[in-house]
Amino acid sequence: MALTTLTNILRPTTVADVPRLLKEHGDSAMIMGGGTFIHGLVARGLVTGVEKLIDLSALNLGQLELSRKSLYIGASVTYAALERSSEAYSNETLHSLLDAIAYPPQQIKNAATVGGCIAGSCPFLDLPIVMLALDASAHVCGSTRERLVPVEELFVSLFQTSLADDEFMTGFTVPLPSNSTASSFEKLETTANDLSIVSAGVRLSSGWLKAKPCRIFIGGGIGEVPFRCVQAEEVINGSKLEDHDIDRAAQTAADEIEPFGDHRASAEYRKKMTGVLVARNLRQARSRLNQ
Amino acid sequence: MKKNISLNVNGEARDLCIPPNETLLDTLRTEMFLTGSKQGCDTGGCGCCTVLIDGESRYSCMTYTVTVGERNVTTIEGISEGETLDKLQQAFVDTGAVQCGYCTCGMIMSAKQLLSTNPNPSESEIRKGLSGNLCRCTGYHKIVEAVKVAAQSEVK
Amino acid sequence: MNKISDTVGSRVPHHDAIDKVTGGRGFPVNVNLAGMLHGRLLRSPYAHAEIVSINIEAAQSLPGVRAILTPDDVTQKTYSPIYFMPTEGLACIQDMSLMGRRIRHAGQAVAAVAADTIEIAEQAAQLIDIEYKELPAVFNVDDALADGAPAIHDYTNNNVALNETFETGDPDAGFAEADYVFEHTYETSRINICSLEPHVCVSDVDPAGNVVIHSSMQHLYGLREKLAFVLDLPVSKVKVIKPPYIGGGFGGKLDITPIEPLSAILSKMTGRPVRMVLSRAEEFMTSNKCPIKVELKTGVKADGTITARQATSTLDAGGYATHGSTVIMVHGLFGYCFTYSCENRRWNGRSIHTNNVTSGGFRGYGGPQASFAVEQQVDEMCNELGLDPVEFRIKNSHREGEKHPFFDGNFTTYRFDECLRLGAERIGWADRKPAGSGVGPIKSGIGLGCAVAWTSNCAAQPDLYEHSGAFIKLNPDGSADVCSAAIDIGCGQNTVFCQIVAAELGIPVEQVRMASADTSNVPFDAPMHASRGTNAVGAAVKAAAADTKKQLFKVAATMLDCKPEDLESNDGQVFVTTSPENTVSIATVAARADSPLVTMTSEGPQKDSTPFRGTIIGSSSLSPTTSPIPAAAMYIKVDVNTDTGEVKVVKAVYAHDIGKVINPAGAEGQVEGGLQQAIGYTLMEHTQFDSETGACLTSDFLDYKMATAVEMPSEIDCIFIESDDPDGPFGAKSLSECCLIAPPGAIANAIYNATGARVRDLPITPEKVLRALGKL
Repeated sequence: MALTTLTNILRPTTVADVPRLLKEHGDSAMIMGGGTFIHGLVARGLVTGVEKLIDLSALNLGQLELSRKSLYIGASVTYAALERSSEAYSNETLHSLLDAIAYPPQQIKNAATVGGCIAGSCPFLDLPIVMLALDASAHVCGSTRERLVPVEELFVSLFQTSLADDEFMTGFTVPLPSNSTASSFEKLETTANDLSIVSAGVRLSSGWLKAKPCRIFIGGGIGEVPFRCVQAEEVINGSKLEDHDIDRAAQTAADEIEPFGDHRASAEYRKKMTGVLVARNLRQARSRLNQ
Repeated sequence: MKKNISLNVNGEARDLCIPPNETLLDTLRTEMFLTGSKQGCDTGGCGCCTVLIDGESRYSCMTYTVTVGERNVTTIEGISEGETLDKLQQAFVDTGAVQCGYCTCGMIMSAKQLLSTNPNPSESEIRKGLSGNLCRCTGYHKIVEAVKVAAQSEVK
Repeated sequence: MNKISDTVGSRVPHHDAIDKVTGGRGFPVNVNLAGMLHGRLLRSPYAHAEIVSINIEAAQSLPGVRAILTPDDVTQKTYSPIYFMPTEGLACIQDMSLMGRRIRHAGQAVAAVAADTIEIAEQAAQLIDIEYKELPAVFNVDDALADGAPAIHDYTNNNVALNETFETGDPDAGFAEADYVFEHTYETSRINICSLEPHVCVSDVDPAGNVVIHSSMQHLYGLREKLAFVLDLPVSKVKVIKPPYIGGGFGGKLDITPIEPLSAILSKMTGRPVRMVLSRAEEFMTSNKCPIKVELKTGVKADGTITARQATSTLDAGGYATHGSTVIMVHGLFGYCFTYSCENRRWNGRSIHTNNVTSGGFRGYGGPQASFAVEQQVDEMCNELGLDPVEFRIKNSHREGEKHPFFDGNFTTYRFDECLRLGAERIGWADRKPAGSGVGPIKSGIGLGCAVAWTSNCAAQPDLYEHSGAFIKLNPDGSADVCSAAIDIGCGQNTVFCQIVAAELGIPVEQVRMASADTSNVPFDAPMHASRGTNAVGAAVKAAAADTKKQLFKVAATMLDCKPEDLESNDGQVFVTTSPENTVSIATVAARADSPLVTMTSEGPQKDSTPFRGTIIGSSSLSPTTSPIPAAAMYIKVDVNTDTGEVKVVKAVYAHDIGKVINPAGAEGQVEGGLQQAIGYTLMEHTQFDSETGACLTSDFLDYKMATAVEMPSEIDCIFIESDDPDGPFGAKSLSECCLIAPPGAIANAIYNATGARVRDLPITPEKVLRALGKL
């Protein structure tokens, strides 16, 4: 059923308009990316009292720019656009992006935006896990200032980010470390059109001088926000990335996470699958390192 | 607060005055009487509402009409030429891929995007390409076959 | 010997396929009448409660609201909503009412609003202020049966809505005679029909004051009867319009729901048509398969001969024992009486009221719940005893010609053993590895599951409707209109009927059409259920066609100067059998009969000499006296990931004793679609509810997982064995329900063969596989 309280969909034409509108309308306004996430919330009765949606499509936030040091992804870049772009394919560091965006059905890929996905602060979605693993930062724009916020500082609780009421994200910068780095993402889902039961995103670096340490993040029905496997990361950081290191890291990840259980899967299963997915992704990332 | 918009559907522009919370699916069905796109769920989960917007498949139940702008919407009603069916439509008829038919139009629209970007898909690419469309009757078996047949008839 | 023609057995494209690929105009969901209002229900948030007070003031004053109904405005009489038996039928439990003050499951309708738009109706419904007194609720059968459990209905003891038993032979002696006795408990779950077209209806009042209704339903006359009963009208004052087809039924649209009577009452109140449609979330609270727990005990000799069988079934009927009271009977009879040959049988079946949503009908109707148990136990017994599961089944199979254990008559044709052998060969059964063997995390296995002895119609069940009829008329262009109340629910019934009529009449199938119809102009037909379309309705339309052909030949004989018995017809022509060059087209005969013809001669205009003047028509109304018995064997190959527990079905071979295939593409479609439902039922679908409030947890397709094209195997091999049964049109028996009865046991057995892990409760989720493997 329709969002019955909605009275207007605003379509600002400059970036500065957005914080102003957010400030003006407060809780009665929400930003909309492709609308896929919002629609899901509306259908479940989780969005009440929203009178205005702010459509960002006129703001030209659809750039994808690859430089030597980073990939910039505009907030309005759709999954489909990311999949089509050669920039995303060019560097093994970024492989987990492609892993994640391959999952959804085409109709979702065509509409869902990177910005919308991150702004939702939902660990069941896939891109947030990848952006965390890749140590991305969000370009945040507010009424009085612009700042760069590590994605890791964004997710406060389910559906809640750390952004101020008048702030929104215009894009994301994914760093490309100078040394050899690779990433991998995989999720467990019941069917090909599903939220993740458990998902894992990892980034690895090779060589003795690891400029960027290992990152291991878990998503799915595991908590209000994605979970960082700090202890498992330490196992990898101190290791030569051999099979027994990966297995130990996987077991450590399974031990340190305390996921919840629900009608989709029990906590026990999610805990065990954390180990399985971390092992798989570490192996996958390692094989990409060697390419 | 209703908005005056011009909506391009199947090559024709229509002037409409609609509320902002109206979905494209509702506009197509109730304002324009194009009942080929259907409601099977309310949450972008079944694909019966699939249309193309500038050639890209979209869940019209999850798209607010006022956000479509000047882009071209194509529905099932817009893909045949007079009495001549689109190759996908013909293939669905010929292979027996239509049972109750409720998912059929959405399937065809999804398959249409698939073949336009990947004219010779493998079977697993076809299955993945249709993963956003549910069917309860056919087990998808003859639907996949129909897409293969349509792809091959394009190649000829 | 039945006459076969080119149309029967050929892949005739569905007659409505072109309509469906270009938009599909005929769905009831598209019915749009001038001035139509929209209705919405308000549903109880509590699973067990009494309504204390209702205040509709705020709702009534919302602009655009046209009428409101609460329990105080409607009849409180109780009935069984099920279409396939008469309202006064003996066998059905009549404990449901249209809308009452006593709530027995979460989501029960408590009010209805008609308004200008669906949004206003929904808003108004939410403004209705209802005060409830909550009652203690029970959400599983154990709690419902426990001492001190709240009584959900007044007429039961301990919430037992129904308790039926049967016993044949001497089971105790049979068990004593056995070398081995096996006992296992199996449990099946609630899944939803998930028909993509939801329940929808539009009610109106015609100029004569009759209720007229369109509905997405499986039984034209059932809706008329039940609606008339609830509205307290004679049936002649209710007219049900037959839809060209509906968007899926699967047994879930076999009963009247609140929306049909409420929309009719609202329509009378407002003087406008009223449409009501269920949201997908409401669908998940409606039309769920009955969950049944089975304790199965079987005695066998060392050589595999079954000596005795005993089963105790407990069904969770939910708040009202509607289908819950009839599914249990089908389950018991087909599951444990008609299954593998064994004289010593005992069964005890109970349907229990709980405060869960009312359990409904779904393809197989208790059959899959039994086959999941029986077919797995066969596998378990064979594994223990070192017997081959194929040979075990053949040894204990019924034999062609044998008397049926329950129905009048024999197994007129029965090729179960052929199904087993041909299927085994096709899947490579001989190369099956021992359970759990194979290296690496992905393990493969093959499993077998069967539908042992199903039915092709309801002839054997005297308390169910089982008759069909049709009118046929020929048109001057040689085409035929077939008027039947049978509804095409998506399987392609319309096309099969046209093929049968075409074959019988001898006209091209493109020249046969199903006419539009309603309850004022076609004979009664039983519901489109129980896999009876091809066999029972097919027989009726064939008989009507034969009747039409008699007329046709009578007229043609006058034109060909011969006797009617000298004639044959084929491909649109009538001809003398012994001299086929003596022929006239059916179109000409029909045209000649239907119009006055005067030829100009040298003597002036001469009246046509044909003595017959009138439309060539035929009719039938008949009831089968027996039901031919189909059987099926499903072989399934799975890959199981033993790290995650995920199961993928990679290949299926389905062999079915079908009698005669009328439309191969249609028949294959039933197997392929049935497998999608079986994969869901066995591995991933589960309508779940909160164990404390009864609220639905799986109310959209994100949470309720139905297989997509990715989860289906690319190889589905159909073997149809044509045993040419004398009790079916052109030899045809039934097919569709077997396609959901055979696979679940096969999948479970395949998982066991792959991994050595046995899971006896549905759905077999990855988690359960890991637990069974001892990994969790």
